[in-house]
Amino acid sequence: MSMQSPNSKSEKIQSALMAVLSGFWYEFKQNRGALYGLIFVTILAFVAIFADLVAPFSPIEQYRDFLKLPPIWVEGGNWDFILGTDALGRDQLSRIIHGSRYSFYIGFIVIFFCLTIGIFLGLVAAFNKGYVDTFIMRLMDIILAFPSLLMALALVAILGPSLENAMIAIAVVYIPHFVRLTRAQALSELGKDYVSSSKTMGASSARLMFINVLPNCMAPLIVQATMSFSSAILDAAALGFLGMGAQPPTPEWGTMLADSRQYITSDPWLMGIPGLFILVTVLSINLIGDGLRDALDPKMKSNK
Amino acid sequence: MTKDAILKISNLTVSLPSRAERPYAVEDVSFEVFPGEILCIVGESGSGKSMSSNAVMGLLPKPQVYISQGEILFEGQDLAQISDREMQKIRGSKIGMIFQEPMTALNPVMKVSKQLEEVFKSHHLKLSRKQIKAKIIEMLDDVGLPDPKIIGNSFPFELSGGQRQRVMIAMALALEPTILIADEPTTALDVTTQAQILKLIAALQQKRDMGVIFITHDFGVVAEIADRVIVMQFGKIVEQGSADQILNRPKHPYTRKLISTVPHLGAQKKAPVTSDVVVTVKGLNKTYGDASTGWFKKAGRVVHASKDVNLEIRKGETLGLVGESGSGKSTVGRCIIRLHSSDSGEVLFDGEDILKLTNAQMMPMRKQIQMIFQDPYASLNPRRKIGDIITEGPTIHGIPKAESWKRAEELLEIVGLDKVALKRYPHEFSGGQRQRIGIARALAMDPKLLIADEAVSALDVSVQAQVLKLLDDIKNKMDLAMLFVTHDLRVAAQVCDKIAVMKLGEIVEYGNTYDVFHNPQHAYTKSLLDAVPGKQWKVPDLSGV
Repeated sequence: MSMQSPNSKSEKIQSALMAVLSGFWYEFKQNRGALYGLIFVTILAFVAIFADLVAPFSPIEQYRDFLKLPPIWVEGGNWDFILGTDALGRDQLSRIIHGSRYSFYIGFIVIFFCLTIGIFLGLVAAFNKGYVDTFIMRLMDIILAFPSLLMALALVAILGPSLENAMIAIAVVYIPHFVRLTRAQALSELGKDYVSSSKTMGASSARLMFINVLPNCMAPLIVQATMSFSSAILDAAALGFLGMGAQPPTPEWGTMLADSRQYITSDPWLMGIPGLFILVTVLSINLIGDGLRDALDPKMKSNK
Repeated sequence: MTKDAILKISNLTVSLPSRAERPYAVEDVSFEVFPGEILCIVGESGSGKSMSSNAVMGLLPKPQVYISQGEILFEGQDLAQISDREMQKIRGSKIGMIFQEPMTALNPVMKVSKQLEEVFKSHHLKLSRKQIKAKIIEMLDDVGLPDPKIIGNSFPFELSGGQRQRVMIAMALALEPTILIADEPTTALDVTTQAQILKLIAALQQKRDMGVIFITHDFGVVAEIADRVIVMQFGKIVEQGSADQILNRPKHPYTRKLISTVPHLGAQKKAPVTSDVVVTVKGLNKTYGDASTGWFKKAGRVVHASKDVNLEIRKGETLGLVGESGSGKSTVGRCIIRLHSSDSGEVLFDGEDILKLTNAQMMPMRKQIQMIFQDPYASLNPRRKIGDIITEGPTIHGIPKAESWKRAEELLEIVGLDKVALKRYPHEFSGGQRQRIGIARALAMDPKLLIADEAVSALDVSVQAQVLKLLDDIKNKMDLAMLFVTHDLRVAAQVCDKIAVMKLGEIVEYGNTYDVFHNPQHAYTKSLLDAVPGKQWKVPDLSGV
């Protein structure tokens, strides 16, 4: 078997992977909400990637002849600007489409930082019971003691308002959740005999952490990552709305809300449309998270 | 058996969901229970023995698992047909049940007396508060609990396993049911406690003239208390008859196979092993807990898990370390392999004290000592393939993948598995197969000392026999020294050359297996041997028939 050509080996691994994936897909499909969420997010992701081709106009170009044009289903709508224009005459649809890019960008960057740092700190805490563990966990407790948005606001105030700094602030606020989850999972796995067995073989801490324990902790972490993805979008929008996130004229959804705040009574769709997109996107991702949990966590499955 | 049957089950079939491995959990099962008898249902895991009793109690996980055919006649009613509400009335009042795990079967945040009160209240008996109180005390007294008042005022976690099981029995019998169903009630208990509980059940059953359905996997327990025996396999009854008939003159090949795998209690006289000493343990001490206080911590309870333990194992010798739970037997094994640190003492391995080595110096020693674990489900990493699991050790020690992979193939053959197993994941294997994989993993390091920590305790008796035989073969073939940690005296008698009996962290008796079993010196050893269920039953020799 050791003589096997690398080709057939990778093929076999592929077929095994396919089997695992199809089983996972079967479980995931059982949850209708998750399926719809996935469809919406897929479309949105497609639109975000090809925003330059899909969007009818540039998101920052101002059409001074068409200020505050309502969407087409409201009287006075114009088919050129399907979702209307904002106070400066920019096409809302194009801004929404380009804004979706920022939402995904925020989500992915925040989750990337949370996962890498959170998993690392969580594993270090779990493997070094004593002072290291106490230090890491109490630090996380301190971060958790602040209301998350307030903490993010304070961090942005220190770093200066920009989309990048907002993402860093949000990541810092979310990291404790990942550290705690990783640590709790790792601790329960550490008590199992397969870890003892590796220890008796003389496995190093790094090997125990990343090869033996981490893969067994991933399922809840993936679910947590999905849920945090949507919260990150929401928090970034909130920071944008408060003027602490993306700066104009960036077509970020939260910033769009902030820009049109003064028209909330006269032209409600100016705030309504970006607000609706934030809502549906966050909801869809949360539904996907639910579906993932059902599919990945065997304990939740049993009572169905 | 002149009385009428109180429970009559005929042609009972319980269906499983379509994705299960077989269509029926219980298939065409018929039996009767008479007042004043203990009926034992024996079988290996998955034989449907618990499912049949759950069907009687209306405890099947409906709607996936349901009774598709047959009737359960009890006091003129067919329990298979009645509504959940009517079942509720019968459950507890006319049919009592006790479970395997007394900790989970009791509500952990409710005092014992409160839980017993619940029993009366839920069946709407017209009793005054005083009457209930008196009744509770009487019940607790009946099941042999000392100081019923104090016990009644305790929470379940304050009681020992045996006391909890007694409370469970008191609860099940509170309303004087005519049938008691006991589902492996002593499996989670130590031998001495098990013996007491078995005695208690038998005494109560005689006093109240109840019918008892006793579900177990242990033929020793059957020999101890059964009047009649039913043997089940794959959801079907393969044989039923009187205890004497089944135990001493079994007819069905499956029963014969099961009984032939029960280890004999009597140890054979073996010549003492005189080869080189592999490992010597001198004055090993280990305590858990810390009595000192600090800024953020309060003083803990200190437990001596190992107190001045001395052992010696030779090449090709098996030393049995026996004791009840909490005796420190596993701790000693884990201290030797340095999974736990020790407080003081020496472990001389080839003349070198390995407790004093640094982690780096320990590395070459790691290869020499390997361990086989109890739970075959937790001891293999579920996310790695068998091949990766077996070759992990050699890889850590720098052996090229191709070479260790080849060795893994040979090892699988030695432990009786096909080499295609290398590419599969642990969940595709049964408990016995997994334990074989665990053995192959330990052998991949070419150890000189093998520590088997309750290695066969989680296995069915027929699988247990196979794994024990495999371990013995390997030990002889590779001339290994083996430390065999177990709570099961029958198993110890079968495989060990020498025995060390542990109690509360101390070795109270240490000698040749034959001497320990036939001429025990210490009172504790005597009480352990005395508590082995079914010790009067001489396992019939069914070989060669």
